[in-house]
Amino acid sequence: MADDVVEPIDPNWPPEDIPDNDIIYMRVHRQKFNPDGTVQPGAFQNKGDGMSTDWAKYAAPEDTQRRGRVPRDNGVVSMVVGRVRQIPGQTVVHTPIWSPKPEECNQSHTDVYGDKKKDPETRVLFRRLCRIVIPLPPLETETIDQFPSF
Amino acid sequence: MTAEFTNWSIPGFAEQLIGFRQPTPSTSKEKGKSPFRWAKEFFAPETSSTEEDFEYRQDFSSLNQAILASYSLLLLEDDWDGEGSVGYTLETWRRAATFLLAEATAFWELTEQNIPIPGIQPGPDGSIDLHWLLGKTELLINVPADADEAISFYGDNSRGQKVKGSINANASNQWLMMWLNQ
Repeated sequence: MADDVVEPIDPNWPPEDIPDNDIIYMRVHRQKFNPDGTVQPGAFQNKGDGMSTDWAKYAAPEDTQRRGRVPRDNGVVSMVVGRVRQIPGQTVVHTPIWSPKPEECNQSHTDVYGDKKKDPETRVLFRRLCRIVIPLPPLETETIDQFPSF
Repeated sequence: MTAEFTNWSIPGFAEQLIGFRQPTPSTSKEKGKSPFRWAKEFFAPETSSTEEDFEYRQDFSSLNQAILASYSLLLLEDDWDGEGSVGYTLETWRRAATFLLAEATAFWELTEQNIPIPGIQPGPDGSIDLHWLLGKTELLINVPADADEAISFYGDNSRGQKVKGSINANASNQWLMMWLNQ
């Protein structure tokens, strides 16, 4: 196959059952980190129907970070699926995304369904079970190069 | 300018910002408390003045600074994280700050102690979280964006105690701070 031929993406990724021992990754935005590097409970919330994560079977933590609008504004946490399922009302479902645009495809996409807003306990439990796998990158500092050297 | 802001420790500024009013000195005196000595030592330890020279204030300077810092939440507009998160409104921030100052005041009235400073953080769907993590004691209070919704909370500690429910911001809730500080 020539190098310039992009391998077609299979639009028929079937949803799979995710074992309890598997890992999922989630991006956490800079605003949801505490100054000491820990994650705030507010990091765990639904966008639409569920909380978007990536299944480690098909993604590395770096892939999850790269999918952020500004990757450097995000760290990544991991969660063990079985422990997520132990949180009352939470389910973990593989929901691969296919799109004609290759950059929007994500075979690893996994939703964590269940309310996370009405009951603060849910977010406290999420905060406790997550592990930081990519710490928040430091803010880029502006270099002062406009001054002439003497 | 930055240095001036950092060192700005005018107690009560946050209350003025949100329109919150602390109890008057006379109210405190009627309850038999004497915060004057503390206030004198805090504001002017080297001067000798009479009680009338000082306006009664609890030591809310740290809390005020935390509340002022949290004003930056209002800079977060819709989709601020690229994930579709909702922005934060002045009304929600005011409710959170007012609730916090009311809790601090009520706790001071009971104990003459300050409440620990919480994290004032972005919560889900435009709500604001007040989060305390004190060793193995944790308390999360969520102030919803919808003023008609109740404030919800969850807390637990190493003794196996759990508190959970919803509260009316206008009612007396100092028991929650008592639980946190036990």
